[in-house]
Amino acid sequence: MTVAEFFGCGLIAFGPSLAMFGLTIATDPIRTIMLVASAFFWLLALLFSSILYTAVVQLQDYLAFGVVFSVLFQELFRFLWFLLIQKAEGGLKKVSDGNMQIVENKHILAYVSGLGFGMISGAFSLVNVLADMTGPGTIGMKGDPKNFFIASAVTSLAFILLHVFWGILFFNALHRRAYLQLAYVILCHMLASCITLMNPIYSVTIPTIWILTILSGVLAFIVAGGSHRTIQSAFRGRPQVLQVNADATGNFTQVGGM
Amino acid sequence: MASKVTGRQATLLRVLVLSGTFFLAAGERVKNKIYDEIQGDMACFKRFNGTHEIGCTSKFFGNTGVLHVIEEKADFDWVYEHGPHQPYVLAFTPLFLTEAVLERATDSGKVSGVVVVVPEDFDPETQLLDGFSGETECPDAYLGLYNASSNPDYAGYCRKKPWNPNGTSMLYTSWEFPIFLITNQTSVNNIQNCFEKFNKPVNGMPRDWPLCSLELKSNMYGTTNSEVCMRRASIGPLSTDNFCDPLYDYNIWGTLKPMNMSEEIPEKSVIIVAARMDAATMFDNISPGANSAVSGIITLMSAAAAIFKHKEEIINVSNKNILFILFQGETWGYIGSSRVVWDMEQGQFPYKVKDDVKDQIAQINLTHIDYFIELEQVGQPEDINKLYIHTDPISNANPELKNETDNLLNILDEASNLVNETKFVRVRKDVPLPPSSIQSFLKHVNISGVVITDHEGEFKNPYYESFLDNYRNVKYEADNETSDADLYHKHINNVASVLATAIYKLATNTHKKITADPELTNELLFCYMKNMTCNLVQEYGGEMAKHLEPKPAKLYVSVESGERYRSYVTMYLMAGLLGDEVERNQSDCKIESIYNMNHFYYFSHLHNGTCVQTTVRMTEAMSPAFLIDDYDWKSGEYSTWTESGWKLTKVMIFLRPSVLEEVAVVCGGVVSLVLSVIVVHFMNSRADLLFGLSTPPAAC
Amino acid sequence: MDGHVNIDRDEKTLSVEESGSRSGKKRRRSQNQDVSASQPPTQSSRPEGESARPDALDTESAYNNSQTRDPATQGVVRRHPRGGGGGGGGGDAGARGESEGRDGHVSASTRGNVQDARRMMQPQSEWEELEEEEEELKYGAQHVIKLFIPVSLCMLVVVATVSSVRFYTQKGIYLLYTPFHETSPSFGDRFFDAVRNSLILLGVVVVLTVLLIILYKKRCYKIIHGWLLMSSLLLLFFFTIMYMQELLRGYNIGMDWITVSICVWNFGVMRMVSIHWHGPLPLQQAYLIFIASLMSLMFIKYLPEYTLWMVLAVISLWDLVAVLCPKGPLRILVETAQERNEPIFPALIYSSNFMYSTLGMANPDDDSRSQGREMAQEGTSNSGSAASGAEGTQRPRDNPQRRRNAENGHVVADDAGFTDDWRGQLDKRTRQRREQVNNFAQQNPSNVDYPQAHPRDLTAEEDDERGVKLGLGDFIFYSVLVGKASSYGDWNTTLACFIAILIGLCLTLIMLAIFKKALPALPISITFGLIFYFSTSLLVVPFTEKLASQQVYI
Repeated sequence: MTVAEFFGCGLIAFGPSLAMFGLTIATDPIRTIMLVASAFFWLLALLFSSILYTAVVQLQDYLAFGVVFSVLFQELFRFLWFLLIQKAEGGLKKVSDGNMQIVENKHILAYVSGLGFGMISGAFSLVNVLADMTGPGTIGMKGDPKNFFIASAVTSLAFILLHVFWGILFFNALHRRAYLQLAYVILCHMLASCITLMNPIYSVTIPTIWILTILSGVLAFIVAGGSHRTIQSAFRGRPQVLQVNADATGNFTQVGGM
Repeated sequence: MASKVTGRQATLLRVLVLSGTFFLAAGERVKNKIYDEIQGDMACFKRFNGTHEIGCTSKFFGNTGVLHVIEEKADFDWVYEHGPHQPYVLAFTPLFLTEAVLERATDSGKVSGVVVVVPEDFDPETQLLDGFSGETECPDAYLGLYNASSNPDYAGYCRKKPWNPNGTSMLYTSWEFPIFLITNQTSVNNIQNCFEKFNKPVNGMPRDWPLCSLELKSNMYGTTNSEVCMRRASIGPLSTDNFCDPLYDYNIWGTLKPMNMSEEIPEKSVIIVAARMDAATMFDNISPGANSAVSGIITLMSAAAAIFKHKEEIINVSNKNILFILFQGETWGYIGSSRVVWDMEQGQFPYKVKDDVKDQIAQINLTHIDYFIELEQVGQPEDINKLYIHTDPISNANPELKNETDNLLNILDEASNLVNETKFVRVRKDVPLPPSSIQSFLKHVNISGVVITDHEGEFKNPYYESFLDNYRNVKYEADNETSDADLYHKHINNVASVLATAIYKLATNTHKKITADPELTNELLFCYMKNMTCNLVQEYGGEMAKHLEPKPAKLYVSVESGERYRSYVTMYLMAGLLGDEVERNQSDCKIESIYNMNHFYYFSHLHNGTCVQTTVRMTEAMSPAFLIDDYDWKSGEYSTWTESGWKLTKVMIFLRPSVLEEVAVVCGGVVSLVLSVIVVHFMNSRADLLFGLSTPPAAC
Repeated sequence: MDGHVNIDRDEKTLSVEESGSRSGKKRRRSQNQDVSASQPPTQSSRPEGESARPDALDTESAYNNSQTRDPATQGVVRRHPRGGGGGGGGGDAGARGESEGRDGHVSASTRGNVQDARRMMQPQSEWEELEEEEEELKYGAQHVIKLFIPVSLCMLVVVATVSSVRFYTQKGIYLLYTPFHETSPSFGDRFFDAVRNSLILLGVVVVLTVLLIILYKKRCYKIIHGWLLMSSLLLLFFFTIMYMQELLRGYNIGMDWITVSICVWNFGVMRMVSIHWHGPLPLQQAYLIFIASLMSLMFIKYLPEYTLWMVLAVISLWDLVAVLCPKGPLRILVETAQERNEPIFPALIYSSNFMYSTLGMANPDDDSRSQGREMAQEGTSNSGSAASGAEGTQRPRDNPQRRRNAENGHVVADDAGFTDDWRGQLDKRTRQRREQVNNFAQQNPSNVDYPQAHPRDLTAEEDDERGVKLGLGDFIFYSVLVGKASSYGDWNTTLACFIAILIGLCLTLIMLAIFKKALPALPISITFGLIFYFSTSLLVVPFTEKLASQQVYI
């Protein structure tokens, strides 16, 4: 039965985000709440884009229209979410008493928000497809491509990761007023979403999206303070720990660059 | 829609669909890209009697199998000997629907289901030369008059000369896999196309995955036999699903003149004219019974309508009454007739005496019966003008009774001469009766009766109790209610005329040629054979008409909570034919009590609203076996047939991937998870090293 | 994870010290307030021995952390009379414990020391300016999670059942209270039916609530007790059998009646024991979650389509009225309970920390009285156990229980934080709390459930070292909403409702911190849930389905 497909595709798409959630988010209540709240903001963005999509009846056949505006809405709500966090920073500090990294290292919050956006958007794009996989059948009888499921899962995974990276880049851009980065995030999101309009030409779309993912990942990694040297030292391991510890108190973020 | 559960389910689904359309805008789920639903309402289902179970069931979650369409006999061998992708679901036309094929499929162990597809161009007459009947060779022999214990002399007659030589007993066999009948042309094409695109072996070599597969769902709740099944139903106090229900419907009947309890009914004063109302097939939702039931029903209704026009004359000169009755469930061991007899013996036909009801209907018992005329299959005579009259050799051994029977036969002859269209031929006196309702009466009382059929020996109907017994079988050709070109309705109308004339003579002892109305006959035939949403049903059917589909009537007897619209519609039609219009408006047009001798029906669509006073009513047709305490289920005295409950029947077609592919996907997923756990853990635990050297971003 | 934990702890130590100034401030300040508002500090000097409980373990553990330090006292004492709000040192400790995650009580003493140190460092001048509100927020973070988990579990059970067992989505039979079955095809008629049904249902709820209050006012404890017992018996046995039967049927598993009855009997009796008498906390929580799920499944099955949505709306409005209105029945109920120093029906409130289990009858002993009240209010017996040397019979379970908690994942956290510093203070704390409770009783009725199984109610009252409480009714209606959403087979809608409800719960808790009074937990969540259900199923789903089927990602 194709419950196998269900688990396979589910794990492909959500395995990394589950790992991130389980290892870095679930242990901290504030992060968990932030994750849920950012997911809620993504939902709001989706709701507004759906309202627009439903309202403009004439353009309902052109998905591109909905996609473009939905991307804009998502980035808008990412911005609103950022503003909200800024506003609530004071409160957040109190809340995070004893665990200050979340306030001190902005990247953590950015990462959490990005993951929140990513997980919920991944869920919304894949969860019904996954549910439909559980039956005995697989796709293809009506001329759909045979690797529809795998392609969906892989693209969803890319988008989850992209959202994480975009979250980091976006927040960082706002913090540092680096508007080029901001533009990169929005354009990258737009490009990634619009390229999927070409599906099911997977040979074009999937590589493009993954190139964008890796690019964004590298950027996010650098922005968060990583470099090839840090990677080396990380592999070398312990020796510098104490020193590092003293340097960056409580800074044990885990921005994911897969 | 036979089962209780199914009936409820259907309304439920409708509710869900309705609400679903409000709550959820219909979306394009991926599911629709994977699965196609195929007509699945005609499933073979389980029934039980006191000792056995028959029919088919799927596994709980459905049976799946790779589709293989059988085009010729050799394809079977390919599946059984070469086919590597078992289990298979076989699809074939009724041409291959034989016991031998099904048995071989069972024995091979490679078959998980069968769909019988009926393509549009399938012509039973040219292709199915041997006929096809799911019934046994001797229908209802076990519960009839001539069983081995009571009448050994005649018990063996049918075995030597079967009434139904085409009988395969397929209906009475318990199959190990689900069997579905598919008549919808889109579904048929779907199956054919999918098979050719993905599954059809190339030069005898099997194709590779993914393969087109079918899932057949028709899980039945009941098992073993009626006794076990009924007992189980009484155990679970919280149970909401029923394991099985007794077959149940209503006998529909009316008398020429009302019988008031205050007036005593003279002995031997009631002439019973009977026909059977139900037919059966292996499959749910299809039971056209064109010859086995409809021919008799329509003849009876036409004759009744014709006689009713002379009601006053008859009442004035005679104390005789005429009772027209349609028996339900006769296919399943004479349920309707045996119930009437049982009620009459108990002195409770139609109802027990009520104390405080005025104008109460009188109780009829067996001694009131004068003559008994039964119409069995009358639609397919070899010679269009020749019908056969059967009499019972046992009861007619009694000379007194024989005289009466001879009198009846003579009157029928005279009537046929008078009408001069249809001749009646008497069957040899030592031939027992064919399967017929009168056997139930003769088991308990000696009455003189005849059974009118279109066959002398074996049935002329090659598709007795099968889904092929439809209007094509009897060559009913009318395309609409008013078509005059058709010959079949003329034949039926002639029989009705002869019958009416004979009954008039029996009742009044005077000859008068009565002619049934051919237009009415045609309209009735059209309704029952082709389209239950016809004008007549719209006029008389009232609310019930709304539930009927534009299809031939489904004549299966069903269960207590099953679909029964056709029974109601038939009752209303009878009421209209056997009723007097009265000047009452809708609010007054009702009865005080069902025990009244007269009933009132209001037909709002007939002439802008008509109120009719009539004696037509329904009485329960459920086997006495379920009413008698401590009934011995194995005694064979009454019908013990029950029907299994089920939730839904459904067929889906889809592609199935290869196991290898599935394994690969799962491995991919696991790799993705493990890899990401390692990476995330690494980054998390070394985060200080990975990111720590950077200066924290300036806070805003 | 070990290495990580170590580093972590070190870091924490550092960071705590750094940030210690602020939180320490707060702590002091609130302590001051507390002290002034309640008992003079002198009373706090009751010897620890007085609280000696029959339980050796506990005593032992108390002595383990025997650095009975003042700061710890403060942690407790500083509880401000805002009662329902909670928040402060204990909460602090809890928050820290939570953030430390797995190492729970292992690190407790370390943390205790840190706290200690930190507090010592605090200059008095910095005490002012502390917004308690924020303290509460912080305090909220971990408690929000503590409610997220059971609420999600309850929804999970319901959603899993609804989507796998067909029985619960089949219509046909309806509750007695909903005589209008929405059979008409017209939307208007069905809507009207739904309105009437939900008003009838609301009427039933109101009548039963009032009845309960009258009984309670008249001190007809036996009747109430009997009522509660009967309804839990019914729930447990009848609905459990039904659930089991449908589950077995749904998966086509055969089971004989003997096995079923043994299972159900043991299950039910164990539940009666653990909730109405005593049992381990996780077990009690599991039972409460399960019961809430069963109840919501019943609602999903036996309420007509539109009625169900209408009921959700109506009940949350009622919740608002009943809890916030000065004469709101639930408010009266709670106030009465507080006046009498009695706990409120244990079987109907989920507590993240402890389910006190006895309906304590009024006891002439002052101490036990106050304790009873505390239990009612805070829903934890930690304090109770301290105070209740007198009530030996009631106590014994508390300590092992708490210990177990301490060893157990997340539930632990604040217990661990608590354990180390509460001991020395038992007494003082008890007294203070008694005071607080009195104050609190005036301002903050907690929201309680009535014995009708679907009584909602909020009670999100928190207390620093003790848990947040949420009425079972809230669980039930949250799950009803999510379960109903999932019954249409669309997971996007389900997910949206789930997140909306969690956010609503979050907001409720934040408001709780702001307003510092008991609040109804249904209105915000259910409103969010309803909005998101309808908007998602009507607007979002067509869009997302189109996206998903054409593999377009946004």
